[in-house]
Amino acid sequence: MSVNHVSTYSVGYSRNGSIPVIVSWQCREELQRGARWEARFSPFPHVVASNVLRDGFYQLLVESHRRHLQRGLCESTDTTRLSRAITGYDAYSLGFAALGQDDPLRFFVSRPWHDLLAAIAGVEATGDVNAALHTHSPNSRAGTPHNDLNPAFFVDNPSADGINISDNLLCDYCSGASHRADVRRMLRAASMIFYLNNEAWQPGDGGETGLYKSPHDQVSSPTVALPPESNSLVFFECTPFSYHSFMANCVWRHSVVVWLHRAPTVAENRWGPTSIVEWPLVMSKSARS
Amino acid sequence: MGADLDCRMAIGHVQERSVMKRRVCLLTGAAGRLGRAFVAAYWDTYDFAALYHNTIPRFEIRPRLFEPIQVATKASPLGSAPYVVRGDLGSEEDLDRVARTVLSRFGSIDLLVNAAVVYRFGPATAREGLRDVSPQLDVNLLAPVRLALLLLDMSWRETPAENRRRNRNIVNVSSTSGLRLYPGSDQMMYAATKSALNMASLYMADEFAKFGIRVNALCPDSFPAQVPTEYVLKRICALDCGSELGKIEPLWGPMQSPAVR
Repeated sequence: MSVNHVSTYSVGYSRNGSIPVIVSWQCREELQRGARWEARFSPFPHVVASNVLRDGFYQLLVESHRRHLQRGLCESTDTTRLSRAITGYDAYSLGFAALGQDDPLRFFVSRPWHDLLAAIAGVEATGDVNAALHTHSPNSRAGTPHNDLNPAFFVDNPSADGINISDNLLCDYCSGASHRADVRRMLRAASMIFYLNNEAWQPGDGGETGLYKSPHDQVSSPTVALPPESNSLVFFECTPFSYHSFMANCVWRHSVVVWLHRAPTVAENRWGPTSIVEWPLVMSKSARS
Repeated sequence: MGADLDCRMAIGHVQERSVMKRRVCLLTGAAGRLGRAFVAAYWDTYDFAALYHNTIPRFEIRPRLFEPIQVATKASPLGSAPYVVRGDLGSEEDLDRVARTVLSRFGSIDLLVNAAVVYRFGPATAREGLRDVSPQLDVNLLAPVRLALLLLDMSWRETPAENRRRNRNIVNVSSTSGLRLYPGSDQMMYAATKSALNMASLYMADEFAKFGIRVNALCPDSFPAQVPTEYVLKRICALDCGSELGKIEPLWGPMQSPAVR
């Protein structure tokens, strides 16, 4: 299936003239009509949506996801399949740069989807996107509350619709290590987690995304815990207080993660130059994708 | 409730009169009691730029459902949350950054509410009374003046007609401590900064008027102990949608009889 059919769009401007918003798009065909999208503001502004994609399209994504799972989970770093690629994060990951051009999962790195998320969050996103499949096997270690307000490095390698997908083989997302000279330092602007291909979630299964008031909160005691129900998502602007974490799980938990990006000056101007959270030095090549 | 409705209608009238966007409010002290209550009560009325320093502001805003495909033509669903900005009111560099950032986001500011406050009480007869004088002077007195001047220089000075059309104004949140003595309360320096803020508000009102900016000060008794917080908020909005200029408005609590005053 090609994603070209979703790449027709036009852009207008928000009421204050600074934020590009979509004024028409074709991606709507893939959204479930009547789905519940809700903006919530505690403990920080975020969006939760359930039954996001129409059934037929969602099944296409699930079939694609199953094909990636069938290729097996690799315990060492392998950029071509789900593998232990993230230092300090107990999950298998596969960056979207490795996905085929006809993979329906590329919907999540399409221009319309990017622009929709940017418009909902009210952020001025640049088209630079990092996306990955994440799989947590049962009894994965919980993470720690963090805000995702991290730097990110890109070189220009845009798709036909202008979306520039992070590819660690071209430029390391965390360090900027690259053979190319056009490395740009950007900043995460918004984070999305879309859950798919999970068993019907039951209380006690774990694997929720916890939202926190403080980085010092116990990961097991979030202000809000969002269960990883299939075909649902959580989405938020990355700010100094968008604290969230993966919570320990008893059952398999699969997701698609997407980060939009913007210029670092936006955060420096808004929250001060010390607001950006630099990556730990241990983050290696291929980290965070 | 009736007064509140009147106030919202008046604010709506101001917006309609200016045939434009919602009113934009720059609020300092957003993480404080008054700041949080102001946002919680009026987030659907104003576009807030909410300034905080050390404490992350938590706003009680009701969840809202939305249609994603209609986001195209409407405001960002998450954008209805206050535009939170961090800055140290004691730092001129931070104030400059904050003013530029907020103006870059919103274009201009219709209402500046200086609600941030620092208070350190101590006896006038001991060194303790002079404890942390600088932060009190910086936040209670200098920051409102500096912020107003930055907005004037970066925006308001060039748009006097628009300022009048949009009824732009400043509300300095002062205190009855700046109006009278509270014997035995050890408020010397705090009260002095609030008293100075009242006088500064009068001079600002006099000189900002030619640019179409009204300046007033609100002097509530302690809230919510003596004055309901909601009443303070209503008076801020009343000043915003009114025509007062150079008004130093006391909000006395029930314990403050005229004889005591």
